[in-house]
Amino acid sequence: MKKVTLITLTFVGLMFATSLAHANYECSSTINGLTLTVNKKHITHLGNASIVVTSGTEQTQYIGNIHSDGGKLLGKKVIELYPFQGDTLTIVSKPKSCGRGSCDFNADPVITANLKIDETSTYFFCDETSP
Amino acid sequence: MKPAPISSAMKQVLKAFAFIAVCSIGFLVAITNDHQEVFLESKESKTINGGPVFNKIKWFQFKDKDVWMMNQSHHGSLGIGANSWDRLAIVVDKTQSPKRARFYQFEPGPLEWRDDLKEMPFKVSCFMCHNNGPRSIRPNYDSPFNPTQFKNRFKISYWNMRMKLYGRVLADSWHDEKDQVLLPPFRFRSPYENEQLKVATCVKCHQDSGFLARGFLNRQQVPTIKFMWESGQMPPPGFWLSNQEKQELEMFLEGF
Repeated sequence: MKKVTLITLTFVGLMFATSLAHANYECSSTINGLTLTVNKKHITHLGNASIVVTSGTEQTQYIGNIHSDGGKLLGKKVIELYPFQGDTLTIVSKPKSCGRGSCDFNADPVITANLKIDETSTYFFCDETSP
Repeated sequence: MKPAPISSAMKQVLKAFAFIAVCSIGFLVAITNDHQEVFLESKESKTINGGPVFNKIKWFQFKDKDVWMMNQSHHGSLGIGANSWDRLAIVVDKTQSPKRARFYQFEPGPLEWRDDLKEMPFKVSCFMCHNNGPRSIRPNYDSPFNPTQFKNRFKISYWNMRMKLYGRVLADSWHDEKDQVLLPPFRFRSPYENEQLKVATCVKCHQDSGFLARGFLNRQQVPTIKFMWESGQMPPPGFWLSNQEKQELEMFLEGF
């Protein structure tokens, strides 16, 4: 009985971990083909988001805390990278099209990101892969 | 010594000048005082799909307030029936300093001002474009639909000057209360949406106090700022942005 319980718990745990590991943003930059993946549910003691930056075969992982600061029109998330010394990833979203102040809130928003490491900023265009 | 007599030819020239001056003044008075609406295709406003937007605008002057009413069509110059036009108004209270403005959307109808017009919820957030009360009217004079009559160009210039002379116009605090239940609201309220544009050249006018103050611009106004910047209408003649400021502005427009 204990074995069945253990297997069930392991299975449920794996399902949970898999769902948490789902990337939330997939971003790409025009510079050097850099890509960036944000998993905002990757919760560790260092923060609640993980960021993986891929350049060719090289990968760099960052961990950070997300702070949301958006409203109904414009969205903004700032991830302060651990250990926080001013490095951030900022993700902003805005309606795809606006006319005379009226915006199309039904279409997918335009999402861009700015990864700031030391004094270097890199811009990305992003897709939200899961809310 | 006697002054030289004015020659007959000179007299004719002076008479012609006087006649032209009197006619010009009469013409300007006539067109600025006629209370007919002006009809135009907006240079700035576009539908969500990028199509033309048509405006009929009328100004009502009262002792204590100015009322700027507008019927706006997002469905071509003829609209698709009378109910397809958005009937909007900005009422500028002239009794306060700085002046205060209230923004309205009314049930469709003619451009006639009454205090008991029936209000409707906003279809759009007014503050996204109106940071300082009514804004200059910018017709698309190259419109293939060409609805703006030539004589109305003078009237529009006069109206625009009138709006400029308001100086700082604050949104009436009446909107703060109403926004608690409105969606879309008059103004989006999150801190991010209200972050101010701090580019040094822009804040010479776009700040809250001073002779030229037009109010700080906010992030929710990015579509309007972008249009004004990219179409070359801002900064105005005599002002320009340094390369550093251009970068700051681009960053702001991108949302960072």
